[in-house]
Amino acid sequence: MSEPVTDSAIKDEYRRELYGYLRGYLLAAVLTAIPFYFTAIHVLSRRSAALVIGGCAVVQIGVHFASFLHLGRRSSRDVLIMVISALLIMLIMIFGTIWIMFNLHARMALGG
Amino acid sequence: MSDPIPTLFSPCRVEEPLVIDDEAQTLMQGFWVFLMSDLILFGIAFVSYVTSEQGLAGGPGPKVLYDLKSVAAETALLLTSSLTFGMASLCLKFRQRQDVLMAWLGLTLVLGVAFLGLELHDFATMAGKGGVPARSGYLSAFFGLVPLHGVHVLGGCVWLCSLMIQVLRFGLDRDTTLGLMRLALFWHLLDVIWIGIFSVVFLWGLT
Repeated sequence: MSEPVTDSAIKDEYRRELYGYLRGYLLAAVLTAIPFYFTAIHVLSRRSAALVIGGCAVVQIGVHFASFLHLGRRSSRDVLIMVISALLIMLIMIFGTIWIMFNLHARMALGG
Repeated sequence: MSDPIPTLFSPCRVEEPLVIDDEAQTLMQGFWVFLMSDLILFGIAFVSYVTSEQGLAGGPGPKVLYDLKSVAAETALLLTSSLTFGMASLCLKFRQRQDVLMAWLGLTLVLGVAFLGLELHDFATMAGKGGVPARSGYLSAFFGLVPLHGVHVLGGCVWLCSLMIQVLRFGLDRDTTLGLMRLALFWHLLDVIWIGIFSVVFLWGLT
């Protein structure tokens, strides 16, 4: 911690962080462009469109968390636990609600 | 303190990065608690949209109401604003010149306001086609989700203005610096939520 910080070490750290942002931006731009392109040209079936859109979104969210929000191995454990619990709660609520609502919908349709 | 070092990438110089002490670390973690609760709020709004998407009630649907080009432009504006805020965070961390920091923050503000302007224009176009919140369950859910994000961006812009005034008035003291660090997290998280919105609402709606 108390090691003397050399000029080149600072410059390296600056460069690394700058490249981190630029890499994140480029990756995010590509991962945005892919689903927009496929939506614009209308060639995919609904199932493969869902896979492309969903896949790119999940990867892009990961890129944003890593590059912009700096979540990673160097983050504090408390923050990581918080993020993981929030994602878990969201997962349960989102999939639980969708499951129940669409199941109800199907049963109502069957019952006439 | 070492002398400032000129870099290849920036007309300004970098200095030894700011050190985050324990107290500041605790403040940032507290802000993460808020961010995650906000994220859960958006999760609920998303799920209400997904379950209401079929409830058109004879009103206009996604294919009539959404404009892919406009959404692409909004996405580009918001994503670029995340990069410019990142550049501002770098200026802050490596103690670069204050006017460079203010320029990046100002650019971020312009991009955020442009995003809001474009989004309001889209809402007005939708309303012109009969897409108002009271028309159907689908439209109620849409206007419960997308403008919720817009209001957050508006809040972020107001917060950014306030912090820019504080930088001019007090300089980069402890409070201003920590405020900018928290706003950076908030701003980047809004961009993450926008990924969900353009994927689930707009792209899927237009598929």
